[in-house]
Formats: sequence, structure tokens, C-alpha cells
Amino acid sequence: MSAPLFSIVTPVYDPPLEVFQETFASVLAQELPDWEWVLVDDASPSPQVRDWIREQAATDDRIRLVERADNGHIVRATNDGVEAARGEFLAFVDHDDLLTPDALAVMARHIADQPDVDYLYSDEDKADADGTLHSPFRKPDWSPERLRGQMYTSHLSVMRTSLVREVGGLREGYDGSQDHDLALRVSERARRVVHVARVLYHWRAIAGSAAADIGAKPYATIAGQRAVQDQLDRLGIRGRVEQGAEPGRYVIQRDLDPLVRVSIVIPTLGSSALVFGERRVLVEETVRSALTRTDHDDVEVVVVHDTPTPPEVLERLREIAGDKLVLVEFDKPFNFSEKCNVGALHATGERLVFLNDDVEVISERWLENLVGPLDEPDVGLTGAKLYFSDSSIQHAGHGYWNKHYHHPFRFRTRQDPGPFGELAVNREVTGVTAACAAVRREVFVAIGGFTEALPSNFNDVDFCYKIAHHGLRTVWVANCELFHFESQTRDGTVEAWERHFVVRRWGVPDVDRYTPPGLAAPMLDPHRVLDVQLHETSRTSGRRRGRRSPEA
Amino acid sequence: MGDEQQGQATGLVTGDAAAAGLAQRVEELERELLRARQAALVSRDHVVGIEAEIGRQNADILRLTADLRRVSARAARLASVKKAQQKRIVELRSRLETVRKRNAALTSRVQDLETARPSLARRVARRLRGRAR
Repeated sequence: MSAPLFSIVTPVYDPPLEVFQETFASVLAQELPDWEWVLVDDASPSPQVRDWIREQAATDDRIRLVERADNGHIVRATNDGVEAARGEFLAFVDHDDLLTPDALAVMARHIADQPDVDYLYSDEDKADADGTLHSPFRKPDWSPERLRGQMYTSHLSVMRTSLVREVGGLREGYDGSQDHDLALRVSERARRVVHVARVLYHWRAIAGSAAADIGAKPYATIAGQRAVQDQLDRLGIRGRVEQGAEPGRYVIQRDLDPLVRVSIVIPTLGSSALVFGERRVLVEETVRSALTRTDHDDVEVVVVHDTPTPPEVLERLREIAGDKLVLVEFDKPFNFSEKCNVGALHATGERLVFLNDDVEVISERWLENLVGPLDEPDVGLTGAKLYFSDSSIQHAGHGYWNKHYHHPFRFRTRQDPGPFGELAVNREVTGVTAACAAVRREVFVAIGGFTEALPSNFNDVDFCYKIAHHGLRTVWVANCELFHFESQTRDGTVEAWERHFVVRRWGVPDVDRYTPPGLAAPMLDPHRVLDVQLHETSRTSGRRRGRRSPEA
Repeated sequence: MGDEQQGQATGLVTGDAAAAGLAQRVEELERELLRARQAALVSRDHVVGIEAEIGRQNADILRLTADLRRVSARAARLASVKKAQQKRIVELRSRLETVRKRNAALTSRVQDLETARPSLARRVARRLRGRAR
């Protein structure tokens, strides 16, 4: 099967000639010969680059120069290139960036493997002025929710020409985020979107460029916010888009249909603990904060309590939750999964939220943001951002790789946006903890709830695998924040049979589709680090004492 | 009148008892229904688990089959190389044998020549040289 013809589209506006020549060389060095290069000169004031392109085009008929009479900026110039393109696929390359020699060949191989693909994007890194490559961005597999939070697909993007024309190309008025807007519109109609897990593009990071700092173009983030809002409106998703923690990141405030009942299922023993200097019955604060920090009215709180739960705790829960409370007594031996299942079966809501009894909701409209994404039919499960009591991250999604189940980004600070915005935007993940998770009732039933074969550990891991097995996405919600007062030095002992149970069903964890291990590291528990340091100190001083004694 | 009132009271008591009995029955049925729904959920989980195992096993089979194909192809390639090399060894051995035989014959000839009596011409020449001195 022959490779498709690629049309590389590059709007050109007065780049330094030596920089442009490097870009030129990187395109000419392509291993794959089946390409054409449509260069659109956007009325550059200096004729130097234009003349140089003319010279090159005279010797290589794959190079075509389109000359604009007036400066139309990036949108019009790119659209001229799209219009002139003759290839089956468009590859967008900026006039100062670099392609790897195998870029088009690798894309062609992926197209041959999946002929219905309409949009491909690769990993990328940055190139300094001196050519030093750094900051490789290992991207997740196709993540539509994350694309709303940031333009993560970026370079190198290859799109089917017919689809780009079908959606009307780039839109005027979105300058600076015109590529984000196009990616959103193309991905809505694409039959398949493919992530090519390989760096094929070096993005030039020079002062003033978006690669170095998107904050350099504030109009771009305003356009980006509008592009994402447009998508929500097109798809009928209830919510509004706000600017995120850093430029180029967007936060979605979801709205819930007032007629949708949400059942919050909380298994508890009614135990107390010292939290922030006061002794509190944990479940009481869980229920209080959960109800206080939502505007959604149709909420039911199903508390599944073990028989020894003190009656005064149940009484206080009645005072806090009133007629929203449903108490279910559980008189069997401890089984977290079974308690959740029993709670879900007593619940009457169409949406189920599972909450541990040792959490405290921090963020306003947490329930709307957590449950809202479930309105999209291919979203099966959502999870929250959980913090230890010192505000370091306890949970930001699961990652399953290298034979283990991980909590990526654990112990980072609350303000840390993550290496590439991972902690600042909603994103698809392999799994989430059941300490705070939401699911549609019909999905819960279809996958058989939580496996009661795992009473303590890994029941949520198995649950997440089941969600993926049914072809559904799991979305981690960055703006649904809670404290989780799970002891940071908790004994995480896991029985071998528990791990074997999950592995027997789902295989050995190998490569995570959404979180590269390198990004999530180091995940260092400060308490354990301190333990090690203390241990080493005592060993060192012991050795010193040991050396001294013969001298004594 | 009094009898009538007593009758009504008895009727109420009977009605209350019946209602209480029915309520209890409803509760029992609800509990039973819940148990049945939970059993269905557990059974569904079991089915999903088996499906997952089958899927995982299929993936393992595919992977192992591909591995086997690769390894078999390599084994076939190596066997062919081995056969060719064996043939070459046999040929080399045969050539070696021939060369060794030739070598031995020549060595033997050289030895013969070295140990043999000098020729008549040589003996005459030696004698002539001696007289001249």
C-alpha cells in the first residue's frame, strides 16, 4: 500500500532567514518522498525569505509558494494553504520549527495501520535558539476532555484534508488559539484520533514565542476559552469555561440538570479522629461538607453503617441531612465492596457518587463538576482531586505501569499545575480512587458493581478496568477537590492474592495510556524519606561510635 | 350501640394487625428483592471477570503465537545456517584430508631424498674437487 500524499502547510511571515533555512532543511530531509509543501507568504515586509523560497521552488516541484497580497495573519494565511493543498492529509508546520526526518514516514505507517484515522498527533519537544532539544512532552492517548482543558495535541498535528475543509478550516477571531479551535472541531467529527507516541516535532522556543510562554500572547488564552465554550455549546454540554491556573489552561464549571437525582453512598463505622486539632466524627463532616458545597438540590445521602456505629452519630447525621438521609445497616464482616454495592442498591438516584467517610469537600460546586461529565454517554466514571491534611496531593488519578498500580503526582503541592498542566485541567486517566468517584447507575449495574471478591484492596482498580473494558472513559476532575484524611504513613500492605486476582483478570500492568511514568515521578512520601534519613543518620552515627570505641 | 362500637373496635384491631402483617411481609419481600439484586450484581461481576480473563488470555495467546512464529522463523533460519555450515565443514574436512595426504607424501619424498645416497655425478664432482686440493 502506497503512502498518502501529505500537504505540509506553513504560513510564513518574516522569519529570520537562517532559522527558516533550518526548517527548510528539516522538511527536505524527510525519509518519505510523498509530500508537497505549501508555503504561504503572508505579505512579509522583507523579500529575502520569499526570494529564497522562489529559488528553492524552482529546483523542487514539491515546493509551492502562495503569495498573499495583504497580511491576513495566521488564520487567513493557513486557510490559503489548506485551499491550495492537493494532499490527502495536512501537516501543519510553523515557519521556525523542525520536523524529525522520520516524521511523515511514521505518520504514514500509522495511517496504513488504521485507515479510518482522521486526526493524528505526535509527541513534541522544544528547540532552543542554539538547537538544544529539551522538555519532551509525552502526550496521553486521545483525551477529548483534556483537549478542553488545554491544547495538548498541538505539534505535530496531521489532519485529513477533506475533514478540515468540511469544518470550514480555521476560524477568524480565534487568533492565537486557532489551532486549538480547529482541533476541537475536527475531533468532534473524526472517526478516529490517533496518538503517535514519538517525538516528531521540535517546537522552537525563542523569547516571545508561544512555545516559550503562552502568556506572551494574552489574546490567545481569551480566544482559547471561547473555543472551548463553543464546543460545549455545540455538543450541548451544560457548563461554562473559565481561565485556569496558568495561561492556556481552562476550567469547566459544569451544571447539572436539576431533575437528575444524585445519590451519595458513604460506607462508615462512625469512627472519630483528630483532624486539624479537633476530634471529629469523620462521617459527620463528610456529609455536612458534601451538602454545603453544592447547589444541586436533588441529593440523597445513603449511609451504609456497620452495626457498631454509635446511635448518636446516626442521630446527628439525621440532623445534618434531614430527609435526604437514607440509613442502611450493615451487619456482615468488613467488605468495602459489598458495603458500596448494598448502598448503591438502596440508592434511588440516576447518578451514584461513592465517598469515603474520611473526606471533607473543599471546592464549591464539587458535585456538579464531578457528576456533570457523566452526561456524556462515553464517560463511565469520574474521580476527584484529593489532598492529605497537609494539602499535598493524595490522589490525581491512577496510573498502571511497570507491574504496579500507582498514584501519579502524589505528594506534590496543591498549587503545582503539573509538568504539562496535568494537575490543573480535567483529563482522561486509567483509573480513579473509589474514595470519591461518580458513575451512572446503569453503568454500575452493567459492570457488576464493585467486586465483592476484593473486600479491601484493589476493588477500585478492578472497577476502573471494568469501565475501560466496556469502552468507557474515566475522567479525573481537577476542580473537584477534597481532603482525604487517610494517614500518610498508612501501612499499605497488600496481600499477594489480591494482586493476583486483578492480574488474572486484566493482565500485568505494563504501559499506561494516559500518564507517562517519567512525568509522574518522583512520588516521594516525605514521611518515608524522613524515615530513611533518620535511619541513615543513626547508622552513620553508630558507625562513628563504633570507630571511636577502639581508640577509647 | 355498645355492641356496634365493640364490633368496630374489634374490626380496627383486626385491620391494624392485618396491616402490620402486610407491612412486615412487604419488608421481608424488600429484603429478599435486595438480596436477589445483590446476587445479580455479584453474578454480573463474575461474568465480567470471566470475560476479562478470556480477553486477557486471548491477548496472551496472540502475543505468544506471534512470539512463537518469530522464534520458529528464527529457528528455521538458524537450522538452515547450521546445515550450510555443516556441509561446509564436511567439505573442508575432505579438502583438509586431501591436503594432509599430499603433505605427507611430499614430506616422505623429501625425507627419502635427504636420506638417499648422493648421485654418481655428485660423487664424481666431490672426488675431483678433492684431487685438485
